[in-house]
Amino acid sequence: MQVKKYEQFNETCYQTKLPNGLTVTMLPKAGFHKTYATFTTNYGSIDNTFVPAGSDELHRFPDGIAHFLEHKMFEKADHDAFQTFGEYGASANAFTSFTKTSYLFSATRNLKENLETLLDFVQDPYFTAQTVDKEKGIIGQEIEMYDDDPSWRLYFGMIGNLYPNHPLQYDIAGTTQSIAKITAEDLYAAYKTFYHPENMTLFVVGKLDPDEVLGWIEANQANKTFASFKPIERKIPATAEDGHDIIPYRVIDMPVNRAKSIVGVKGLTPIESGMPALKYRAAVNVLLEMLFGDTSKNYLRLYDEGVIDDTFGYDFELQNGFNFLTFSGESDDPAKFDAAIIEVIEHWQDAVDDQSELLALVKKEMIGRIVFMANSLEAIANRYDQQLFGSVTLFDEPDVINQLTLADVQAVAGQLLKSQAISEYQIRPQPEELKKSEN
Amino acid sequence: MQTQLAKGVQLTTVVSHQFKTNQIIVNFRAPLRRDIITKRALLSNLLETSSADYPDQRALANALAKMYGAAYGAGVGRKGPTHNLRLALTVANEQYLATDQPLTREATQFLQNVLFKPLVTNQQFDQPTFDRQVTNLKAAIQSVADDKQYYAAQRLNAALFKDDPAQQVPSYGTVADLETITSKDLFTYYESLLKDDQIDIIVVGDVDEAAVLAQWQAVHFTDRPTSRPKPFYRHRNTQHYVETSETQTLSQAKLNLGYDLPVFYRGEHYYAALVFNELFGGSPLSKLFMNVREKASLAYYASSSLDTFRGVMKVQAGIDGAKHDQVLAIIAEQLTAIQNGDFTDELIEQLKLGLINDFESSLDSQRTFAIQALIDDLTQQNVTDADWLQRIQAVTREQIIEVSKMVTLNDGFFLSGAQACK
Repeated sequence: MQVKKYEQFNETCYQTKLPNGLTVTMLPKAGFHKTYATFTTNYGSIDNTFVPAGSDELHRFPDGIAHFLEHKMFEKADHDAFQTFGEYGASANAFTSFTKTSYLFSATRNLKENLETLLDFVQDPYFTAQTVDKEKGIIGQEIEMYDDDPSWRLYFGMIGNLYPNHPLQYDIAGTTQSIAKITAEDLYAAYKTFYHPENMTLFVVGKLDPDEVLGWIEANQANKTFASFKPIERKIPATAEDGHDIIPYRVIDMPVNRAKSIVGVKGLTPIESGMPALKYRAAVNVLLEMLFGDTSKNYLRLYDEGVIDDTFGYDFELQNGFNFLTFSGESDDPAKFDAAIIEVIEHWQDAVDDQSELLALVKKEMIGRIVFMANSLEAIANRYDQQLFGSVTLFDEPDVINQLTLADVQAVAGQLLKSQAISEYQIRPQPEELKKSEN
Repeated sequence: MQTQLAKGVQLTTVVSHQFKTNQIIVNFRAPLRRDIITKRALLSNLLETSSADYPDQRALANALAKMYGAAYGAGVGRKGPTHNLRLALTVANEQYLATDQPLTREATQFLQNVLFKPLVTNQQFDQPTFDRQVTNLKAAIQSVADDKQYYAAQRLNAALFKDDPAQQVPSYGTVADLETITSKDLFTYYESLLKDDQIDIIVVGDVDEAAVLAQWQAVHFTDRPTSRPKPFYRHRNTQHYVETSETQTLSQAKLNLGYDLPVFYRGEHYYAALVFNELFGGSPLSKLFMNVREKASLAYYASSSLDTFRGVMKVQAGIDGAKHDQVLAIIAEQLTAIQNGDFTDELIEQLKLGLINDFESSLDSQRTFAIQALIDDLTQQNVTDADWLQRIQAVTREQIIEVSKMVTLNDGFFLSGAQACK
């Protein structure tokens, strides 16, 4: 077992790889009552074309299959895993992102039983034609709910602009049409391909004794057999390096009270995984703070001009194989909002060059926020991404931030903020008479 | 440790080594009145974004960034018959940073600056700042309607408290009120709030209690003239069901139900009501979850929650609009089943374990300690962790059935989608 001590934080991280390929990471938190565990596979909504285990041909699966599989994992022949967690007093959940599916629980008691429940239900698939059909109704409702959510529509509208030929553009849950095609056989094929321990990680944080917990996990895994692992072949379409496939602008009408707008910037160059990815993310986050953070000149100017308000926000999404920026907010004049954001992006030098004092302030702020996250078991576990960053944890981040120079930030800005990578998407309020009819 | 700084002004420090941050909360509590709600909401926005020392948001943000990114916010909320305006500031504990900057002392000073040196000229809030915050709050209130779950919950609240405008109005205020408030009025109100409101200052973390106390004693708070506000509001039971409805363009309909349930925080029937709520719709093992969502596939979500400061229970469900009658019937059946004792002892033990898990988990959040200290002050009672666990464990099936018979369905709000009506 590898042991890494973080003196500054008074924390220790334990990590090992089991004989079956599963990577286990444990981080005990003194004084905590709860333990939080996530069991994650590197399989998400963009993995819709792959060579299924036992086959040698690429196959296109229906959109939304990873999320559908996540829902169905909980149901077994004679019980539901939610129920089992409930019996042990734990609260359980799962989520699917573009590149991952995670199953998790948190509990203050019965840690051994809950950990075994987590490992067992995720490693024991059970799908039948009947249960698969029933799930289509439930997921159909979930999709409809997201269709009514303007923020969700705005975000996916932008992704559709940036990635028009890439599976990222599809809603993580798929569509009612695509999920209608999913069969029990499809789910087994996806399961066998992606749920091999070699493609998975287990992260346990909170009240725990690492030796005891590892003992339970080893004993549980030793009782199970898995086929030998073959590297997974996925087909993710390449996107244009010069950004010519980006849709520059789209607008839709929805029954909202105020217009919403989003500006996106697609990262046109791939980012190397491991430490370089962690450093890149930190540099972009510093850059964003310098350009648009509440300590920046731009923020106050745009706020006082009424171009942005408290709904303004931005985000950098960095995943294995893609990265993009988004800036969004509500506005009575979305065209003005977009123009103002794009102007700052295209003249980023004005807010970065010679601003070493601002850089120092932003770095201080970001390091402080890492200390905040150290209070949260969920933040510690959810920030861990072995596929993207390797075995680093939250507590490695202050050093990375500390070492950033103005030259690093400038280099990242030059690489990311390209005019041909920018796109706009807006939601306008529907004409009043269509909006509502009260009775 | 608890110290009375003046009549109605209390400082509570909770020393804990569990967290790597320190948290300071200042809470202003007043009896709820219809005419103060929007004023206090607007005040919270002003206090969050400006003060004499930090006249604009950038100056304020800079001060926070210099304290290693301290997190500062102000907000409002209703609790029973009280309205609460709350400032919260969280700051990293310097022992986890390579610095000897006294962060908690600086953070306390910052809060005092914001509170006692507002951005004021000629006895009124700075006009451009005031105007900007009025515009922003108006926009925020209007946008709330775009969140359909929230909108439906708000409409149900209005129906449940139709004979009391102070309970009906959202705690963040109304657009109509904003049209009438002037920056002079608001400053006059702020001065009375500083004099009259009950004030709770709560500090949680690995702090030096004596130093914290000295810093707050230096403020010289004055005695509050009025007596403590009452902690509970009693909802009026109408005895019969009235549903209001509205149609909008949306694909998933919402059905929200409001019940009278006269059980109050840590009073008689309280612990049984907690278990009852878990059984009815408060957990994934509940009747609503199992039968409305899972078995009958009628809803994407269906859950219940208690408001034990006003004596009501609410159900919220996202449904297929065409199945309204079926959903209403199946929800009623779940309540009847509990009244008839149709549940196992084994399930009750699991539900208790779930409640205990939630309770123990909440002890890992710094905010829990502060919020609990506020509630203890409001209700003037204190229950130890061990006591709480013991009382939950002592709840019997007969007590749960008794609570279920105290429930009366009063109001409903149905937000249906235009598609479903075609």
